[in-house]
Amino acid sequence: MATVSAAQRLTHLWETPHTWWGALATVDHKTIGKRYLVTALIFLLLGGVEALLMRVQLSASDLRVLDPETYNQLFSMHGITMIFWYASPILSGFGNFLIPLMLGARDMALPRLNAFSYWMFLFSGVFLYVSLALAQAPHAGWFAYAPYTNAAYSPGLNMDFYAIALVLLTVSTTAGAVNFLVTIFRLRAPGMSINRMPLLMYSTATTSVLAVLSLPALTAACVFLELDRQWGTHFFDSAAGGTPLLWQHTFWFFGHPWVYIIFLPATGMISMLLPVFARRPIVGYTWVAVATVLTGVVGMGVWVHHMFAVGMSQLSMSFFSAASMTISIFSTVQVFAWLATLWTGRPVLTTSMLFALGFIATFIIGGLNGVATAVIPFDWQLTDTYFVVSHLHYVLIGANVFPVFAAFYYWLPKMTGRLMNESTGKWSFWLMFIGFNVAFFPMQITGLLGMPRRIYTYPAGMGWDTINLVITIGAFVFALGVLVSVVNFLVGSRTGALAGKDPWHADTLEWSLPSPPPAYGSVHIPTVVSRHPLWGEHEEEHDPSGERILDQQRLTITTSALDAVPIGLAKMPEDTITPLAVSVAVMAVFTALLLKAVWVAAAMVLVMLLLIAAWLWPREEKLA
Amino acid sequence: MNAATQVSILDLPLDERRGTRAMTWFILTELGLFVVLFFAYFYIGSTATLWPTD
Repeated sequence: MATVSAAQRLTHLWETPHTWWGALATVDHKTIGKRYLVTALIFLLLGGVEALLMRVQLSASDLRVLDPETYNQLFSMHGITMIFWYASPILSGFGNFLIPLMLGARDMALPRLNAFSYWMFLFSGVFLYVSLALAQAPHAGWFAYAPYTNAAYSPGLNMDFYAIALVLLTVSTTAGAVNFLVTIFRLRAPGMSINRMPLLMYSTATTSVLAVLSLPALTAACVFLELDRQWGTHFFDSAAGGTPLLWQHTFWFFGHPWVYIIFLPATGMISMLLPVFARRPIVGYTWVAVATVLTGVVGMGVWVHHMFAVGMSQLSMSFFSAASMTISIFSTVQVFAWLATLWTGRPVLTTSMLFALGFIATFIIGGLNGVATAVIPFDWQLTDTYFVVSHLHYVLIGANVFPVFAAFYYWLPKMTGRLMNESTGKWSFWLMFIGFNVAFFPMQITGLLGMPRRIYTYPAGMGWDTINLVITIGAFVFALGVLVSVVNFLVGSRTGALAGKDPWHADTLEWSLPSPPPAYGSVHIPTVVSRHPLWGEHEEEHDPSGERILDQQRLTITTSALDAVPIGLAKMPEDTITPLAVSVAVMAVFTALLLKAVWVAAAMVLVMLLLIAAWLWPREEKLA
Repeated sequence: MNAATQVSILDLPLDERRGTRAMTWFILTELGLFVVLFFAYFYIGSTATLWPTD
């Protein structure tokens, strides 16, 4: 009975009221995580529709379904959406929902900042898509090379939308990364020392450090771009003493770590779910953890391999070529660990496992043609051809979309309390896997035949027609597979069989909770004595004196960074509208800057500062 | 039971340093911004015939 009343008190403390106000004010990591997932999935569908329109245009030579400007906007929006507003935020969604539960914490370390991150992500995406509605969407590709983006060559607001939306997104992503780092290093359950952390923590921590270090380069690049376009500077104007290569350096200094930011957490999720379905602990836990961190370290030093064709010294190109090849060693360590886990385990072919296996297959192909393009003379032949388009899709879809869908089938039962339909899921997998390979493998051939990327049409007689038609058919099959899964998620979340606490017999702490988990997580903050708390005998909630219930006010336990020894009790904030209000004010500032309404922007800065003061103002605490 | 479970949780002090730790990471980000600004200054300088321009 004591536990029941403690649960009631905890519910009173932690549960958000089911009202409009509660929906706008919530700081619950589970709600925010689900919002990230839904929003990022919507962006995936938007980016997918853009891709399909492009594929219709390219399905035969000399088609005029789209005009050149519309095509430019579509391929730019497709890349920008997928890379910035889908691939990373969807991982943030899983991280937000899962990490506190896996760590045995009540919430993220900084819940209000977490809410702010989400609102900024949402509003920045809406800001970007307003440009499409105005037919002024970015049109210089997702990496927006100068001088195409200078006001002389792009006089509309297209690239202003691009630069400002990305600055807004970096605010969101930086805040999210900091939150993940503090959560992982301070809110782990007592006893969850660093060598007992789930591998997802290593990948999330590594990518968060990468984000903190690399995002300033993007911010600076976008600010330079706006200054050049709107305020008369010449950072990228070679005629006036600037240099377009400055954009490439700053963009790719951010851009290549970003590849790992959208790839490493996905591999972390695979390292969580693949051993569960292989029915054994992962082989080489320490090696996988170290390889993950080293991928991040070396990933900061390979950005120049995107610039082999711009004309640099042999020495610097050789260095970055070697670094680019070296980084494949760490990915290979992970691949071999997964293969050894499968080889020595008793694999069960669930839908989630199928997506994990699909990921390994596609990622290996993407890795191999990536190593090929790290060889400088080969890169010179193929740069800006469809070979590169194939490579980046093998890496990004292989190492992000397939793991994400594996993760959806694995963790949606925890989030919704219901199992997804397995046979529908398997249909979806095979449609996606076959469609993906039919769409993207032939692009290597068109690339080798010399078909450049980013062309809106091509003349007959180049020998590209048939292959492009096959690619378009593959793209539609892949999209159908995605759609089948999305429908499965929607239907399964409402009508699927009840999942129970642990339908997969998994090993990590989130599976010890009811599905869906209550607002407070676990009644007793757990203690951890093993790397696989739920496998074998476990007593992580053993707490005879009830000292780890913490049901008097919103509290969670903070622990030391390495050994997870308890060092304090952290007061967690109540639900509040201020993160939403601040993000609206930030949006107003940047929208005013877009329109060059400087005084309005200045006024909104004042409003923003007042709202930040309200955020920081001490409040009366809610007691149970 | 390991050492972690022998600590009396209710006797622990209030830990108000999460914000400080977060701010450390934010300052690192700001540091990164300044590194990029200095890089931009010297990189443009290395390609310019006259630098500083005035």
